[in-house]
Amino acid sequence: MATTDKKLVKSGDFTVVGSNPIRHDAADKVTGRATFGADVMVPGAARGMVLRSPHAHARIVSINTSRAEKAPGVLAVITSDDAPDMGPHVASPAEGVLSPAHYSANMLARGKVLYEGHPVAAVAAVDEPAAEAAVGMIEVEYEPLPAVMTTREAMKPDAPLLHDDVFTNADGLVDKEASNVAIHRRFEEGEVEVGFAAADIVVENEYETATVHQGYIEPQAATARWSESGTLNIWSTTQGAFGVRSELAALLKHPVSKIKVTPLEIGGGFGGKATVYLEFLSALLARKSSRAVKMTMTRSEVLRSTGPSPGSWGRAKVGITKEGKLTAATAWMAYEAGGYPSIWSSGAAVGSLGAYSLDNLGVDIYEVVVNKPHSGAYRAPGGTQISFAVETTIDEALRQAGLDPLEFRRRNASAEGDLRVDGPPFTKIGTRECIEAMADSDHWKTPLGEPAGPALRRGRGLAGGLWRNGGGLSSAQGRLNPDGTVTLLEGSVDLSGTRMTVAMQMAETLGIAVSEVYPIVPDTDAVGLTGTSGGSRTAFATGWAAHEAAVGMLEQMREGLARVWDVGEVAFEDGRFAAEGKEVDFKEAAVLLAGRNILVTGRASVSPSGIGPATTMHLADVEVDVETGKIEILRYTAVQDAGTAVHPEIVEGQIQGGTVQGIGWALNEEYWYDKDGRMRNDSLLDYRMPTAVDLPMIEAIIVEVPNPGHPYGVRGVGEMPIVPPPAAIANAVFDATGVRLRELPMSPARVVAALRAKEAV
Amino acid sequence: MEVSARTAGEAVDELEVAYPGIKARLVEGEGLRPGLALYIDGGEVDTGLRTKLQAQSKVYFLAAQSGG
Repeated sequence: MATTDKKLVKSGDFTVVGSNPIRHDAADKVTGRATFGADVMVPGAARGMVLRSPHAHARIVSINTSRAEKAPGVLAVITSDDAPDMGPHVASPAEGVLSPAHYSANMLARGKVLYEGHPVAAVAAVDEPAAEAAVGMIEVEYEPLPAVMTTREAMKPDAPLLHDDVFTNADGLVDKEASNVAIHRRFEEGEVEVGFAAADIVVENEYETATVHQGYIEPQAATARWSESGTLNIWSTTQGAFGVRSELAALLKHPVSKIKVTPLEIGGGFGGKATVYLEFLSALLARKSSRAVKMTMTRSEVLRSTGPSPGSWGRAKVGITKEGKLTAATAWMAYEAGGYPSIWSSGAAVGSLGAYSLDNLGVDIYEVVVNKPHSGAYRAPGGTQISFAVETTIDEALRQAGLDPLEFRRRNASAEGDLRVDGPPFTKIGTRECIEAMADSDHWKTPLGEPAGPALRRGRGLAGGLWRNGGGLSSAQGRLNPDGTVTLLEGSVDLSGTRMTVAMQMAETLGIAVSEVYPIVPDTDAVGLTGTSGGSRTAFATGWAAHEAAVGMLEQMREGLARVWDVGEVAFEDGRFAAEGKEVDFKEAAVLLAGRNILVTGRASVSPSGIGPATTMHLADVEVDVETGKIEILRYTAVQDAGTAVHPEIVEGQIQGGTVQGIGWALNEEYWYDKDGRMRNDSLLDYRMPTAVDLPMIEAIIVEVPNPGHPYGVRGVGEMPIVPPPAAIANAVFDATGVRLRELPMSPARVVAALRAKEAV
Repeated sequence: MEVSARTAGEAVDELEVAYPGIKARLVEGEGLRPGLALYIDGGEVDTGLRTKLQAQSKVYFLAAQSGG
């Protein structure tokens, strides 16, 4: 439980927080010494490989593993028969959580395959060639079924049903007829029809976005080994070691106390590694073969068989007065759940209109099962898609009214006390500050310039946003070493430099340099329960846990010194302990206490409630080649409120990285499926993500409106930046060409088609 | 909707009288349904349905947000 001991001081009064020390993990990572999932070498480990479905939708008639079992070097072959029966599907109301039955079936198909790449069986063998050969010997008879590949198709009344045990859950009311529409959530405030009636301009449009992948460079990897005592050891590339532990406990029906998960360094996750994939299969193979089993994915498997971000189909409608007051807005979004249902709605709903002060709004979110891999989180899940719809519709309305886009946002900016889309009022947020920072930016003040050739057109587009951010449970422990350094055990996997930002918050509280704090992310036996790294929660919640642990350490040090000095009360101020004429610094205190065998260990588990939303404003300058349809980003600025930027360079990196992912989503990235529902661009050559040569430097401007709910004012930063780019770029393309693009990606072919359609009118 | 409850649990009971069936959407066993969070007067509380309410308390039942 977080205490109310908030040490919130003005930004600029910190010694460590706000500086840019070199990350503890940097040298090992850039020299190849860091240990990632695929680097794990357990003595005697077998290699596991997976047989995956070639069909997008099919019934499994039979599986014959007998030849594979007898193949040279094969140690075990598994199918869903080897997995514990999870019973019937019971829908989980928790966001983003599969039911146990569906979770198990997603990792090892039971009765039916629901996407191309769906695991059907797996083999453990002495080496990869033996495993691969054995996989080829497994005979599976399928009965292909019609594949449903989009939400539009899946929502038709006569669409083939993917499940006969999935029923539409509308805010808790469950329908009685099976449906591909698994979830419907509705959020509303005020009276939208009254709001639209009061508008001078009403604009409504329909939008579509494609399935995209998180694009982490490191594929999934896992190694499993069972001990003689029945403890399952897992080494995993995961965003959440405790999540892996609890999910495996449920799926294997094994006590959570007998599962130990060691997270490795992670080469990107962005939400896509918050789910168990290979850990389950390697655990089953390891148990059956009585050997450790190591498994890795190829790039093709990553793209076809993990959890991409859902494609979507939606509508947005806004009403504004000609003076620029937003009177009403609605958004209707249907997201692809993939083969199994789960829900990501409330964050997207809050974010969709969170940047605006709005009395009348309605947001409907649907999750629809389709024959694609089960959708995963990708930084601000659902937010990019809904923002594309809302921010471009708003841009269209305000341009019809002849309004300046920044002034419009200024007039309608959300602020503390305004109600969130999901109900409660906002605490202090930086919407206005981001607007003003954009107005003050060099980019905003610099004219666009003339295009370089007759076929080129230049345009500028603006888009804003808000993301609620997450909290959740985090644990940390600080151990004082005899030399005055501190070993920090923290439960959060380091996705983005958080071992540094968490260590900095501990160091600030202790009054020592961060170089004196050694952060470690240990296994699940060595640190308290901590939620998955994601949801922009780590610097906020685990940083808070580290701060609380440090507060505990200081208390123990004061008590210890009181005993050493035989005094009443010892004070701690400005990094020094003092009482009755005696005074020592932190290091000296540690030596004194160690000399008297007084151990100091501070520990904290927190689930803080003072989450601070992030707000943002993005500006894109583009040049469009009207002959080829190519869109070039000339200049891009992202303004974002970080609350307090604990490590500004890390924050800048998060803003830049998320923005680049959003640009890729806007311009290039999509899953190409053929008519049989098979992915045809399952390599990074053809699934085209932007690289450093494709884009200019992303100018990141950090705004600091401290979060009053956190000891250091921290707001999560990692998710917000991916939300606005598609809308900012689409608005810029309209500015350049007069054409509204309402499908992502805005590929050259789509741009050319839209330009020709405009000319034909 | 205004209620005269002293705790969050009593508020749910009053909601059930006005909107039969809503309790099943909010409560499982003795506690909140998994995946829901309870916000009272703008802040999340972790004392569940036992949480005492003040005279002007505003109570929200929110879907927990996931992230990536």
